[in-house]
Amino acid sequence: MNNQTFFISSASVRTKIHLLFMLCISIILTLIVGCNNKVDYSKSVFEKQDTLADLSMAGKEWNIHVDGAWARPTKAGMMSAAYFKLQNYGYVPDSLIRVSSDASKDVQIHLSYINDGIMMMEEQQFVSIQPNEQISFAPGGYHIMIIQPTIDMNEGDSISFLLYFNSGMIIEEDIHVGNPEL
Amino acid sequence: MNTPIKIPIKSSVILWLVLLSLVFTQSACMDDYKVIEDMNDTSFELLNQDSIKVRFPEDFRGQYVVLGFVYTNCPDICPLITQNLIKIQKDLGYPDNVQFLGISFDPKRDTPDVLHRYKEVFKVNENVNFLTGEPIIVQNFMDSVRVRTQESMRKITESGKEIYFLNHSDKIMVMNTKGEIIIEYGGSMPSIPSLIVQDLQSLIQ
Ligand SMILES: [Cu+2]
Repeated sequence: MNNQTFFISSASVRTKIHLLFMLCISIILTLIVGCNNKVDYSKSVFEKQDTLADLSMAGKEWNIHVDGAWARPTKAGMMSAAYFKLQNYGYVPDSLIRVSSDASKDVQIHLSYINDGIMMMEEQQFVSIQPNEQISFAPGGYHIMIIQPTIDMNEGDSISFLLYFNSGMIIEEDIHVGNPEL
Repeated sequence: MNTPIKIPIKSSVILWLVLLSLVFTQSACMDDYKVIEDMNDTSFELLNQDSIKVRFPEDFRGQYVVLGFVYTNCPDICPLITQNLIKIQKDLGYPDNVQFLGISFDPKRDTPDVLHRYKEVFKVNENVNFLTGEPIIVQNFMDSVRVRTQESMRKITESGKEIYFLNHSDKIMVMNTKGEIIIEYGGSMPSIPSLIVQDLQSLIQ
């Protein structure tokens, strides 16, 4: 576009309108093509995908697993969050309704999301999981919020958590403290 | 780069406006950075995590500064922004002439002591500092860089603590050696560090 020169000499009104139209098109194109190095906020920050259940795990009606759990290191009185993948290998849907931990009395299920460039966070009353569904609790999306832990959470520590489901099932999980992203 | 556009028509004001906007759009996408915000208009007296007074932007003249905006009661997004600052520093090879600042927009709770602990948790080096200050000064600072915050989820927890969170802009910015903000990106996205590293490398050379 840079070296273009437009010549207009004693043009009729129709030619002018035509030129205006061309310019508008070129501006729209420039906007679409020219600035493609900007951050794309439209992508959802948390992933939620369906995967096929591993056949060896199948066969039970209720069969939900926690994989790859970790919690962010922090000091007593500050904030931390725990992350993992929930996988429903069973035949029945369920919902995670509460989480408790040794580290703090105040543990909540949260969801972070972006809205018009503003990062928001909301407490979730439950997170549903369908058969064959995997739900990621990952930075920027669902997380287990550990409010002002009463103990230091140092790298390498292990902290026990209880995950309560709507069905009455409870998963006990020792979560490793450490940041796989650093 | 934009060659003058030659249009010998005086009357077509609309045409001129359209052309001007085209030139503007073009220059906004080009490599030479335009100034987003000149920080030299005002001086902000802030405190770092060691309670040492920091004057912004004067104290950083002659250096590039990467600024992230965080609050320590934020467990999910702000650590991503802080990690991105750390990653940019690491990928640049810990340059001496680039400073990294995590500036808190929650000065009531983020005292220098709290920021000191936050800095320890992230094990960063001396070129990474966390800043706070008088609430009114911090508010003016955030206004000047257009970082917005909004209180959310204030409540008493099961154990009787009063907590609240802040919805906030997600930004990392780069200030040049003259105290001008020239780059602004989303702060927490994993793709951000490589973009800023590229930009900074082309600027520093
Ligand atoms: Cu949270």
